[in-house]
Amino acid sequence: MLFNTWTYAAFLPVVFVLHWLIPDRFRNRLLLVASYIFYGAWDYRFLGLLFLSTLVDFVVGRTLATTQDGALRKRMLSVSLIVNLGILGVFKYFDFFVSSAADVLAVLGLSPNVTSLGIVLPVGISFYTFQTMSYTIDVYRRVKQPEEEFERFALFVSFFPQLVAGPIERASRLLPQFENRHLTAARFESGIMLIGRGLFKKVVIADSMARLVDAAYGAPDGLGTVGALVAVYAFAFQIYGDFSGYTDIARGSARLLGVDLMENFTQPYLSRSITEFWRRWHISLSEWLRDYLYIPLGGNRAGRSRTMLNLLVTMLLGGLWHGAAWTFVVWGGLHGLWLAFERLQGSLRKYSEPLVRRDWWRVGLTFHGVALLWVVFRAGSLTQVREILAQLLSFSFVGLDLGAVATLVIMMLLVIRLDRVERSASLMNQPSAIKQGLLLGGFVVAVAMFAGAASSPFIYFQF
Amino acid sequence: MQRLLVLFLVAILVVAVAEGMVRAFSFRIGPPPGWPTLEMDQKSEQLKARDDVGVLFIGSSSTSVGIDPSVVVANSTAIDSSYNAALPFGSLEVQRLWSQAVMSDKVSVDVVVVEISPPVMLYRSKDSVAIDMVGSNPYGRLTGRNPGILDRSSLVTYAPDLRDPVAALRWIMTGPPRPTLSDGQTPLCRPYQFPKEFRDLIVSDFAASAQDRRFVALDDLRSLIDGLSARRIVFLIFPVAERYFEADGRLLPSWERELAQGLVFARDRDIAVIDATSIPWPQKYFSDPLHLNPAGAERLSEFVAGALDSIESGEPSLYTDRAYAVDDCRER
Repeated sequence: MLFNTWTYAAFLPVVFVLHWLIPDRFRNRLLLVASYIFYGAWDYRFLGLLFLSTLVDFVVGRTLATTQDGALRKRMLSVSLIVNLGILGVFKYFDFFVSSAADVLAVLGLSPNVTSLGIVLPVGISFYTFQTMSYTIDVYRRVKQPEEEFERFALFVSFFPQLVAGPIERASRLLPQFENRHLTAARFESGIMLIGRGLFKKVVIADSMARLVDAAYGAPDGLGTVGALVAVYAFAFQIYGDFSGYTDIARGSARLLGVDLMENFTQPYLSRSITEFWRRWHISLSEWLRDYLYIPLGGNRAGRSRTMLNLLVTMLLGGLWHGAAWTFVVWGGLHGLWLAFERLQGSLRKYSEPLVRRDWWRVGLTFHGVALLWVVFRAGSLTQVREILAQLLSFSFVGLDLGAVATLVIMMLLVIRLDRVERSASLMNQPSAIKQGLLLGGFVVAVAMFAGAASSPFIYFQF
Repeated sequence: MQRLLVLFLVAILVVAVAEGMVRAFSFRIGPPPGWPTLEMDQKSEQLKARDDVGVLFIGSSSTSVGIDPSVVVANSTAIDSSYNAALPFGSLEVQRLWSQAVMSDKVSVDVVVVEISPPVMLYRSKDSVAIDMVGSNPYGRLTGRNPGILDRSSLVTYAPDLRDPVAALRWIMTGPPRPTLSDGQTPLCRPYQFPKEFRDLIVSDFAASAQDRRFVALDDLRSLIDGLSARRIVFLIFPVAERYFEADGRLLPSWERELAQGLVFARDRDIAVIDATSIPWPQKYFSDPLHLNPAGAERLSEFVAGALDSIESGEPSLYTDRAYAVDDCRER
């Protein structure tokens, strides 16, 4: 069930009304059923995987709480990791590894008989497996008490607003919110505004950009420099509008149900460095990778060269997390190299420091670097990366599509404006009702105008 | 609570003002290109004004932009008048309803050419996800099943022009780029072209439900043919772009089966078939995988004219020489 469909537009209000009508003690059960319906609407056959992951981590968590035996605790943790990573490995990476191995053997002159599983990738598998794994690791590390109630734990894994594309929540943040929830007018307003803003980002910005991007990547020949530039910038804003729009809708939906999900984006294209970018972009994944991969690898505590290596490994695996393709590995690797290079340079300005005029060249540099690396992320193959880059460097200006350029500029201005509105809203805390009404009305008008156009699924659903 | 009330009232006011403004200025806005209801209205008017038509083409948007009646007449010795009554989104069900609406007792038709293409054989207006995304559609018009509020909102109706900044600027400056039909001679003022994502959605829609629709399509085809009143009925197997063929030129398996059904049906009913896929269709003739560009339309129209002459002169019907899996698809 996609957020930008009429099905969800009917589903959410029904869940919302029922949720606040029934007694508090039944609310988690309702949300759990709703979450399984939400996921099952996509493909009910994969509900079993979701349940398996939930069951294993719940049992492992309970066992970890009741035993002090270090060896048993390690074994139990291994069970959780093997099951979750096994699910990921089979459903997401098996075909990729098999075909890659076959390619390597072919280079060596061997022609193995390769069998691929050809399984459909279950939606959200990377998100909910990471979420449950973080719970088990936290319990293992004794930084989180295990959950006693299976129903509440199952809801933690499957809570529908964030089930299929995050944010990847921590148990310590999300689980306590599944009791004694309250709805206030302010929370209702903020939930509605978040949903409106998210739909605007997805339907108006991301889907408009998607048309330009798909056209360019579908037929890169003859794009010329300007056409390729449009494609590069357009995808940067498409993926931002798409993913941050999804997150806004997820946060808004959750807030209507009395739950606060974490922020996943804080104006990432205003970052002054790639390090800062990763603190502002897909924050929940960055923090997961930091806490459960980078730091266990040694983080920055084992010398400079080891830090570089840890960064590179973390980002390579972070890239692979996005998808089973070499383009994602290369994309992650390039980000890792950039992070390592920046670490070598040292003296980064602190993320919390406000932007000043002399920062703008850094912001521009970081944005362009990130946008360029998105080419690797978006391309279907490394050959296509070469094609787009060749067009970019062709210095040919034939076939200039003014309509595409105009659309891109308008959408870029909208993103900038929307970011400002977001920032001022958080600073002023609560804009006037009239301002909010104007904004919400604007969102509705824009979405009504753009919703008739073909919409594309959320990009991060495929991960 | 009072704050929420103000907020929502202001939001509703904004939407109402936007809707009102579009309504007020809608006379300056051209309808979206290929807007099915507009084409249906114009074709309906034109057909009502005619007593008879030599060859009437019905089908989907593929035929709508792929057949130029003037080229058909110019290249045929047997045809003296022709009309392209195909409609965008013209599934078999739409074609049945539409042909009943425009043909019965209103206009005398000698030969009806029915488009048989993968989209037509697989596409059902009634339950398609894709069709609802465009709001208005011929099926809704013909059955009175219009989606209601979406169709009544000018904001939504004129959205395609409003959301294209260059087009919007153009119509504000120069007035509406209203497509015109010169008595069926030029189906649309420009090649019909779906946005890519919309095409892909339709294609995935076809693929996902091809299995279920296998025999429903045949039922729809039977209903359509039984309802037509003309001296002769001819099937036109429509070309689609290479993208939807396998490398060796064969149709994708699911589509091939659907077309094979049409051929079996034609053979059983002794209906002549013009298989336009039997001549090569390079990519240069397409504006998108399902629609020909003007050059492609001219080529197809010439081909169809020649084939119709052959059929009229009593030569054997042009059964296809393509290797469709015909034997697997007999009516059950």
